[in-house]
Amino acid sequence: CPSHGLCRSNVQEQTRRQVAVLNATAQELFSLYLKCQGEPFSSESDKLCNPAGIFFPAFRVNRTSERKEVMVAMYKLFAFLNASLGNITRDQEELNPMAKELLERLHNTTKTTRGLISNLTCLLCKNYNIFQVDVRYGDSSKGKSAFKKKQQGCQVLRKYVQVIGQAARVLLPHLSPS
Amino acid sequence: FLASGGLVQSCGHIIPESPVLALGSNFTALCILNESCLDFGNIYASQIIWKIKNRLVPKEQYREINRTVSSVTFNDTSALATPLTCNILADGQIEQNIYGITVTVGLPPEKPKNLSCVVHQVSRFTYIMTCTWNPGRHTFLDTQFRLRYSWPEEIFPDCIPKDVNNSCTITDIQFFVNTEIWVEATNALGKAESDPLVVDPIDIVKPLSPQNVSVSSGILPTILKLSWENWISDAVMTLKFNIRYRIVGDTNWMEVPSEDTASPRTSFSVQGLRPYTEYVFSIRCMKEDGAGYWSDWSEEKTGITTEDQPSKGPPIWRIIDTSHSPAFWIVHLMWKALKPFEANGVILQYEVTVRDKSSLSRPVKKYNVTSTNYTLQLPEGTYEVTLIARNSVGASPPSLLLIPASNSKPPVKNLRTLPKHDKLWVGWTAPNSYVLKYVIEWCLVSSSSDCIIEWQIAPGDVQGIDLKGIKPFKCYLITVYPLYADGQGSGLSVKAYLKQDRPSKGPTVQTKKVGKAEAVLTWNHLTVEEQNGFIRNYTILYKTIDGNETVVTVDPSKTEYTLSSLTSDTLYTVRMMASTDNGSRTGPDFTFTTQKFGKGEIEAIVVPVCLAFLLIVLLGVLFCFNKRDLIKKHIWPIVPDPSKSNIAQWSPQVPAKHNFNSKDQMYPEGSFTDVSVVEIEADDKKSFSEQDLKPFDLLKKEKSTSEGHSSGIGGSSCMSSPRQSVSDSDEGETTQNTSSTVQYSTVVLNGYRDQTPLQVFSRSESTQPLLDSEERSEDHSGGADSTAQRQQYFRQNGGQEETSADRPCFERTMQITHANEGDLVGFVQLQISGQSSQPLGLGMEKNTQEAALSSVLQTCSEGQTVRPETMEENPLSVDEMPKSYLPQTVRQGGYMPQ
Repeated sequence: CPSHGLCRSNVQEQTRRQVAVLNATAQELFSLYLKCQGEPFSSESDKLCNPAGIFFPAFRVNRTSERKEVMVAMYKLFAFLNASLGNITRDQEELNPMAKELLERLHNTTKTTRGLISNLTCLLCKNYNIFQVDVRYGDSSKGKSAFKKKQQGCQVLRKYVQVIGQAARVLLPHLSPS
Repeated sequence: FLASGGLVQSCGHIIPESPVLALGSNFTALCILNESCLDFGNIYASQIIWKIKNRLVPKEQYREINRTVSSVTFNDTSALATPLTCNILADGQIEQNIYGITVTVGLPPEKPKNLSCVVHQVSRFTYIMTCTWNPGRHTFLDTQFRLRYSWPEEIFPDCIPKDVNNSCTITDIQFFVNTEIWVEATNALGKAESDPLVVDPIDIVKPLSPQNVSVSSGILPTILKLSWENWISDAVMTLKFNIRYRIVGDTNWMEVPSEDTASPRTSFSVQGLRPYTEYVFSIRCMKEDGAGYWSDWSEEKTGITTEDQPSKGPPIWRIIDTSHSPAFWIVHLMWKALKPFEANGVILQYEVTVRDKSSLSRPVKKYNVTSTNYTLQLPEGTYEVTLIARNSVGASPPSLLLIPASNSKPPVKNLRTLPKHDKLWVGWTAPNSYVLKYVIEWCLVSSSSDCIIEWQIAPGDVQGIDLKGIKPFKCYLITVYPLYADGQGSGLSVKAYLKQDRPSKGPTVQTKKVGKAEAVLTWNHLTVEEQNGFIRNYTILYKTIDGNETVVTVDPSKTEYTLSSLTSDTLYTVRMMASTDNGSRTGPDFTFTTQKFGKGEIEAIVVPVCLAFLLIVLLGVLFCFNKRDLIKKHIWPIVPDPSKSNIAQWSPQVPAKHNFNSKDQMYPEGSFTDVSVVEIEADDKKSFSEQDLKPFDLLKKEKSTSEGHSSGIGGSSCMSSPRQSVSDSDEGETTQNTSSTVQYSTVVLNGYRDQTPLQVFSRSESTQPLLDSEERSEDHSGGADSTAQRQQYFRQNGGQEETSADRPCFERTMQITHANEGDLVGFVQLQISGQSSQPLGLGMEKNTQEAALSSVLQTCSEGQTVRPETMEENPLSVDEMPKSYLPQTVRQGGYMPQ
């Protein structure tokens, strides 16, 4: 495994804490995002932010799933989120450069997902000798209209709020200190 | 150098080019000549010389490798300097530079050590990580440090320090990922890396301190609730806390037990606080598991607990004033306000209750007081005074004070003091009886004001307390009273200083008495303000101007001292020094001079001298007295009495005129040296017959045509100097002295026309020798007569006062009395001129006062009635008188000059 020295026993707990942090901040992030996008997103979020039409990695694991399966699913999820959040952050820097708090939260969330990916890589390699996981990313928002960019971001974040909660719940028994 | 096509080409070069060398290593440089220069200039490697900064390198370090290459070797690069040049001696003498290089000597970087990092929270979502390390030794080279960090599969951009080489701050950090951090140092001589630090940044966080801290009082008076907000969400990091608090005004912090605040929270109720007390709170936090750093303390917030009833009664004491009437006391009750932690609120009033214990039937008196003292007038007796403090919540327990009839119970023992920094410790030994508590009184002793009493109560189980507020260098009188359950003990006092200093001035000494060999010095005690401590002794220092100083130590209770064994008639300088335990101070100099003679010495000299003088005088007087005859003979020779002369017996019936004239001729005037005074009263003239007066008329005529001189009153005695008669002055031809001259007085009865003639004694001077028999008869009989006559004269003179009521006499006397000397002269002249129109000349003026006096006496005697007495005393007839020559009291017929 790469950087074997860093892949220590505390990584499992770190991963849980990272998920917990994302779960704790996801809703505030989504709310702030809607607020910063203005109308109609503020009032029509349910309609405009419905994630049904976008790609989002399937997270079909539960608390009884195997830990390896959970780890892989999470890796796919957060790899997707890391990329999507990167796109959203880039779009918001363009669309709402004055929304400092939103941008700060997007940055922090993105960084956390980066760290989470690093930790999951460590766990997959260390525990399951998994060195490679197929990951699918979402559609790029480049070249889309501002509305579409906002909407795409809104749809991703809404789904993110739903999934991160599930992930936190699933991950809790698997990553609790043994 | 070779010129080719306008360009200058070097004839050689040095390798390595501009090397960077490690300090202390060896180094070899090669100078390689171009082949073209060999043929052109006949230059070979053997001609190469090496220089370091114009200093020739020893040829031992050279080596000619071939005809074009020369090397130089340095075993230690510390000897190197820049530039290092390769030179050649052209034509064997001319030195030309071929090439030069710069040499840089330094050290490779050391491995950075002691790398440590701290993540500082700067805002709710922003964290920065600052790492510091020890860069190691100075390398003398440009050395770059960079802080590097990475995740397992990701390396982040390096952090390059700015302006420093031992710290760098990373702004992009991520929690919950093990991060490898290390420092890399690089320079021309190498690269060094620190040991890696693998850490999850969340474990090295120094969070921001809690914000919006607030304090609120709870229901209970001993609880305050503290609330705050955390900057970090629990999802990121759970926190534990430290809470500290203190009473406002106090500097000592108290801390809530850490285990009580070891879990995440945003509020905490602090218990066990004092009622009605203002507290200051502050809080800090850190990661719950203890990893990382404590935040700074938050801003301080204050809160006040609610009131509670006073926890104890006020300490109470009293001063009993019995000065007005011993049977009727004025009791000054005084108590101390409760300390805030005892009052537990605002004391609204005090309730004083006085119970007369000697008479239970008397009603209990209650007083509500808002101040901390109260004055009562009580009959002498025993009283129980209780005091209660009351606030809005309730009343304190009562404080009890017994006012006894007398302090007959035992006092404390062994009262002592000991300074302790800025406090004065007072200790005592408890009496044998059980003591409830002690009252300690103290006051600042002052010479100018009364002792203002301060007091304090100590529990009965202690045997010493610290007195606060005691000023250094001040004298305090401290008294301790034991209070028993049934009364009060006697007080025991002690004087004490918190700190002593030397006196602020020295005593002023002066002399009370100075003798020949001793001096009594006196001085006043220094006032208590001047003492600054206990005066242990006085020191007297005295010396003469050129002598050694003598030191005498005197007991401090004395104010007088006698210096002895001093040198007489010597100036001494004395000064006095007062000493405390901490030093001395000398007073002003005082000088005095010892006396030349001791007490009684002068008397011992003067008294004998005076006595001797008096003795001599006395002896002299006695001598004079014994030798009076001899003295009289020399000074006042005896004038023979012609009446007793044998001559008188020769011719007792010789006419007076003849005799008179013959005598007048025989003894010219001016030969007298002494005067005899005989008074003749003018009114006796009436008793004279015309016959009797004829001779006088003849005499008048003769005197008016002759050098008649009126004699003054003459006389001599042992003590009086002989006075020259007025007749002496105009008889300069007379060469006979007094001893050879027999003096006579001639009585001249003279009148001017119808005026009553005055009887005047005219001094007759005769050089006629007297017979021895005459002198002897004078000695035996004439003397007695003359004495009798003088006595008669003096009686008349003295009788003037008795007869001064006679007006004419009085008036004339007054004229003389008030006349000055000039007047007297005129007066006398007038009188004389009445006798004779002939000017009297100088002789009269010389004795004007005497003449005037005689005239006065003569005039005053005109109306006197003593004349008959005089005549009765001398009832002799004229016929019987010829025997007498000396002037005698004029009788009828008078005496006739013989």
